[in-house]
Amino acid sequence: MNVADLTLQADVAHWSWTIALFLWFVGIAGMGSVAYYFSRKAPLAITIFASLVIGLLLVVSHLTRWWNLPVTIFYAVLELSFNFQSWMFWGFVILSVHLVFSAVVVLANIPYLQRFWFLRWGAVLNQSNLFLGGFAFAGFMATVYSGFLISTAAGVPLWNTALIPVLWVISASVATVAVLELFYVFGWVEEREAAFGLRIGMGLDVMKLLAVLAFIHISLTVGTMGAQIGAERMFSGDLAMLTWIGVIGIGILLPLAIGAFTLLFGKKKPLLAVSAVAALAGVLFLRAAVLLAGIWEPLVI
Amino acid sequence: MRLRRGQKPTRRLAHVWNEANCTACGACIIACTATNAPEMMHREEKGWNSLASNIRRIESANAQGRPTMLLNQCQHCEDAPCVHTCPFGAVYYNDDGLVAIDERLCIGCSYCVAACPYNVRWMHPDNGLPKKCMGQACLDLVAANQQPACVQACPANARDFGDLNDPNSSVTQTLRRLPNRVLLEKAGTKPKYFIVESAS
Amino acid sequence: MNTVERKGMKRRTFLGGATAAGIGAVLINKGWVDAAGFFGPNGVDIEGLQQAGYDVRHTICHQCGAACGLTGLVKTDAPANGDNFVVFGNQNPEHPQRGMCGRGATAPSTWNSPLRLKKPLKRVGERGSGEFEEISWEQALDEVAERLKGVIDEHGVRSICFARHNFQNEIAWLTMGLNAPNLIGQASTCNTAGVVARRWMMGGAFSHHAVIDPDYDNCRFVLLPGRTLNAPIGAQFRLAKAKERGARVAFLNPAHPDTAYGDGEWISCVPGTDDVFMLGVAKVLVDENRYDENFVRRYTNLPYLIKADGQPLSEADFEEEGDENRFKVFNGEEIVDHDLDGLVPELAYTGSVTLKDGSEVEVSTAWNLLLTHLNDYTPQRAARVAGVPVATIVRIARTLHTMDGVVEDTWYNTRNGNDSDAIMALMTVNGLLGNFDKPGGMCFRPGHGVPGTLSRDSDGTIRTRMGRELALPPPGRRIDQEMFPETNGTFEAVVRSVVDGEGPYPIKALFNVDATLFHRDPNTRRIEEMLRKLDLVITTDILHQEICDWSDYVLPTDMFLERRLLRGVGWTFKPTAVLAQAVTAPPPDADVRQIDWVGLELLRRIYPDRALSLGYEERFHAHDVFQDEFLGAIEDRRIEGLAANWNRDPAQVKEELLREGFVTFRDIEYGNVPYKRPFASPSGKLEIYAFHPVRRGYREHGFARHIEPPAFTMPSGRREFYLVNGKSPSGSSAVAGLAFSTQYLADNSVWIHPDDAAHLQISDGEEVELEGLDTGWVAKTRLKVTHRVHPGTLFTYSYVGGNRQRILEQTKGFEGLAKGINPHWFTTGWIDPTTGSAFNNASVRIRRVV
Repeated sequence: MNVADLTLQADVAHWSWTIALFLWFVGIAGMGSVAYYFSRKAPLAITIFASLVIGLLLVVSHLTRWWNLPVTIFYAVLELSFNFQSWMFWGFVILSVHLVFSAVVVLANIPYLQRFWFLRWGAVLNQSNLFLGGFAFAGFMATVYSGFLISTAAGVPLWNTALIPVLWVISASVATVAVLELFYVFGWVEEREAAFGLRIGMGLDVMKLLAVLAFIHISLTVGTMGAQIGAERMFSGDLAMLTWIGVIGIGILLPLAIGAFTLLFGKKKPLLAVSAVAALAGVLFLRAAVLLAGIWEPLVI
Repeated sequence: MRLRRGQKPTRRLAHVWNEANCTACGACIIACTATNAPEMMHREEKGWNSLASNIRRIESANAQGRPTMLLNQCQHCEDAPCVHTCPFGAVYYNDDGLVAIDERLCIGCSYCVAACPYNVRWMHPDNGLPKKCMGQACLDLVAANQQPACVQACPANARDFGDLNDPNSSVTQTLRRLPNRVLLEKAGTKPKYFIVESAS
Repeated sequence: MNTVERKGMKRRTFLGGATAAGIGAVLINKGWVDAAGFFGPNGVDIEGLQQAGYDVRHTICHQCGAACGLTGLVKTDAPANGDNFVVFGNQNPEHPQRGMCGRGATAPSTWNSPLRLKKPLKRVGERGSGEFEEISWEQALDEVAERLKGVIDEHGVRSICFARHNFQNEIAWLTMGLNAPNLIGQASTCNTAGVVARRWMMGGAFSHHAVIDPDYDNCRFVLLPGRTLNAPIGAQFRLAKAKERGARVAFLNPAHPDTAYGDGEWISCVPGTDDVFMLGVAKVLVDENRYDENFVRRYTNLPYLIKADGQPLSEADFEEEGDENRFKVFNGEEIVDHDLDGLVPELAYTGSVTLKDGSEVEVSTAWNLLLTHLNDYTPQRAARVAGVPVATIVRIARTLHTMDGVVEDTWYNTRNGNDSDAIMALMTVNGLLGNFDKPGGMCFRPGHGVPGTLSRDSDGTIRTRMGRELALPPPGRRIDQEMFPETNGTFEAVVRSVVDGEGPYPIKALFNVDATLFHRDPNTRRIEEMLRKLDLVITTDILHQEICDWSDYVLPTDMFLERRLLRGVGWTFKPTAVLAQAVTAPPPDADVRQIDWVGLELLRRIYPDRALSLGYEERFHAHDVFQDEFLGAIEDRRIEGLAANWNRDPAQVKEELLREGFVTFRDIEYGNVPYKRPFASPSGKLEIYAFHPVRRGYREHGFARHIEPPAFTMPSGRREFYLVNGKSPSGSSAVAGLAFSTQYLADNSVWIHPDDAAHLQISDGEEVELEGLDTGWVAKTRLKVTHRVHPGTLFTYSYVGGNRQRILEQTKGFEGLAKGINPHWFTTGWIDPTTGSAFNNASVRIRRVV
């Protein structure tokens, strides 16, 4: 009998592609904010803000009682029922702060808006290292949160590992570098920044490869039965294509190969574009593969 | 009554299922729906492709190939991951030691679904609430000093419900007398759904 | 008795307190908080409840045929919309058959099911098309009566067959009034094999499956061959209590019964081998001297002398005019009559006797013959045939002996066509164990004393309980008994009459009384052919069953929640009567009627004078007046008769029936049968060597024996399988089979053993094609790979799949009921020529769907 059948995983929580996209957008916005500290460009600011908004819209659309949000917040404040133990509660706090920060940064980066004197404080903040440090920290925390969110979902043992927040940070960094590469392709950032990104990106790719393989290996070898079954699905089961071709082939090896080619033979913008898109897709595939592979611990064996 | 952090429940109500007596007739499963979700008696629960019941039947076989059957439901854990993870405190312990939900505080994030190691919840198609044992009707029954619907429906003396803090309660006595276990003990959730393994 | 204990107390019913919280279930869900106050530790205050607008109404479940005790709580002033009542198992622990299984739990959803028949229907399309128009009751009754009259005028009343499952008494007004002989119960695929076997071994009075049963309250070990014990559910409760005291239970079955989950041993065997298993057990008991010699000598016919031709030696062999039922035994010195006072005959004797014609014949005791007979059934051979370990057979035999166990006598037992031998074999084991009418043994239900409504004198005169008379000649034998004299109901006789032109006369019209032909009777293709050929098909039912699509008229009837019924309780050793009350009215849009009323309305249209003779006056044409006054008066009269039978006050009996739902007239009494009251067999003993079939020439000898299932082609090769079926307590019955929850709780896939699946490279959940080896019927179905079935065998729950009525396509959420298979698509319709028993198993070939 196939043990996986016994877990009776049902699509009750709908934690699949919607949430994968949410995690992906939050990662881009989060680590994008860190990058913004070094590369304070309007396209990046807009990308961060847009990613965050789309990510949040996705997550709200996934709520089965989204209409109840105002009521919930009203009573939660009234009765102080917030759950400080819950990473999702902290997620609300972090993402709210991050959203506000990113709105300010976008505001400062839109010249049209800077005509209005009452919005000029945005530009002031946008030049403050302290503010942008805070923004970078909020973004980093948002990325970390998106990892802890699923790490602490106790029902799914595959996810219950500290590797996930780390993996999320590394892969979100990869995505951010890819975004910067795309900007270079479009001519929105200078070569110097992109070249810096290329080396960082290759290093991150290697780290990500290591982390992904470590994640699968650890789950396969010392994980609980539920974690093992989940990892098996990624390693050799129904999600193996997504893992090996999507996450590793497209998401890591292809950008690495292009990176190596670039280092040896110089930059080719079309190749860089392919590399960046592949890396971004790989980061999404990683989140989807991990989410889809998650199954409950078998209650009977 | 909602327990505040650190507060101990006055009662520790627990379900006991005697697998050695259970004949898998399904009466408890249907009675649960009829009592707690009568509006779902002729409607499919799409997440599970099943009857909308808080009790679910899981068939398997042991290492020797002997068929086994488990009735799974909310374990009313004393260290419940769903309570830890709910962002706004919608899921809480009540003073009977049961895990309950305050629907005013629920936004339907499904975090409790993913957080439950026993995978017991289903999402109500009308109000989006993550449902599980005990439903409101059974909570009302308990408040009125009655047994939950599943216990009343069981024709084979396989279900019981009572207070673990009461040394004279039938559940305490059964658990003292007969071999029993809980599910996923290593998960550290301190579940209060006890499976009695022998009729005598 | 409850009544005595509570005398002088406030009128309370046993609905709470010590055993279970009781009727409180769902109270609050219904917003009936005010009712909760009337529930106390000593029961429920009925008057208080009634003053608050509630009523407690006990009933008996008819979601299957077991009639378990349920209770309803009703809000009396609320409209019948489904929120006005709740039902649950009767909570009184004194009730001998109380409780609700998964099928009973579906009753409220049957009540307001979208599949419920709500108006009379008249067919407008082809038979089978499921195209109908709704018509009024007046039009329906007028037209049906006219059509029946036409058939009677042209072909005689015997050409009408009434097919029934449970409602023989209700339809009797019509069948008796018409003087129709053919009211045929669908027994041949259910209990016929067992009924005939028990009749052959113990006599007619002990033949019914509800009459003999293990004493579950006190049992120590029960072996259940081919029995799931899914019904009656009261037995489950009693067995659970016995298990708490250490009792054990084992199931012999090719498929794992749900009940076996409850700490039961499942002995997985090849289909059709119960007989050889039991004979293997008998061999061990004899070889190891583990039989009750005293019982065997005194109360079985094993000491009786059998001639070389297999016939019993009797007085008729020695004297002209000698009594053939005065059998001969050996008393240690000489051959004597079997019925001498104080005689304990010898078991072992072989000799020769001179008969009245001067011939000398060899005679042996049946015991000696049994020893020889059992040499063919060594545990080794039995194990090989049955596909079980030798050690299991030996262990079971020893356990039966050391634990004072019994073998359950089965109910729904017609499986493979060799089933009568299986029942005879298990009764042989019981006979050797001698564990009868003792605590924990095989016990017998005494008469419950509930008088009938209609009776018939030998001259044919019909009498009603109200003293009315209708003089008609005897109607003659049923057509199935003409063709299969031993049967208690073989519907296949009708199929043969219509399709093959067999039998003494043709059947032209079929009247189905809440009888689901398709899930009950073998060989669907032949059933369809019969339905096409009939002149007239009428069906009454609660739900839109598949047979409705083939009927010219469909008449919607009420369900048990909506009617009253007085009857005795089966499967109990305490004589008990139950009174079921109507819990609620039918749903507002359901214009449904009681079968009795339908029958009398048809009768008065065909023979007004006969209806009048039976007391059916014009004022009873109104359905509610009929229920209240016509049936009400009969019920009172029957209660008077019941009370008189037990020397009780009728008013007191009625009050107790209403209050508790039942009256038990005395406690169980052990030690009667066969010790004080003999069996009803020719010898008065348990006939391990059955005389009747030998005398009739059905058999060469009277012992149970193993024959290959003769009813269908044996599977051979790795793609061919036995297809067996059995019941799910969550949905297997004609009514519960159409419940919404059944789609989910009673799995409608076909089970296959993991070894077979691996060999055929079939994965769990895969869709395959099944082709009947005999019928050629091809059906797609999903396979479930599970250890719950014997290798080489496929299993599916009966009644829960393969429904083909058109309405399912149009009823949102109920489509799943059409999935799965109906096992009778593959059964051949072979009938055992001696018993009239049919069978439910078949053989199929698996084809993978590409």
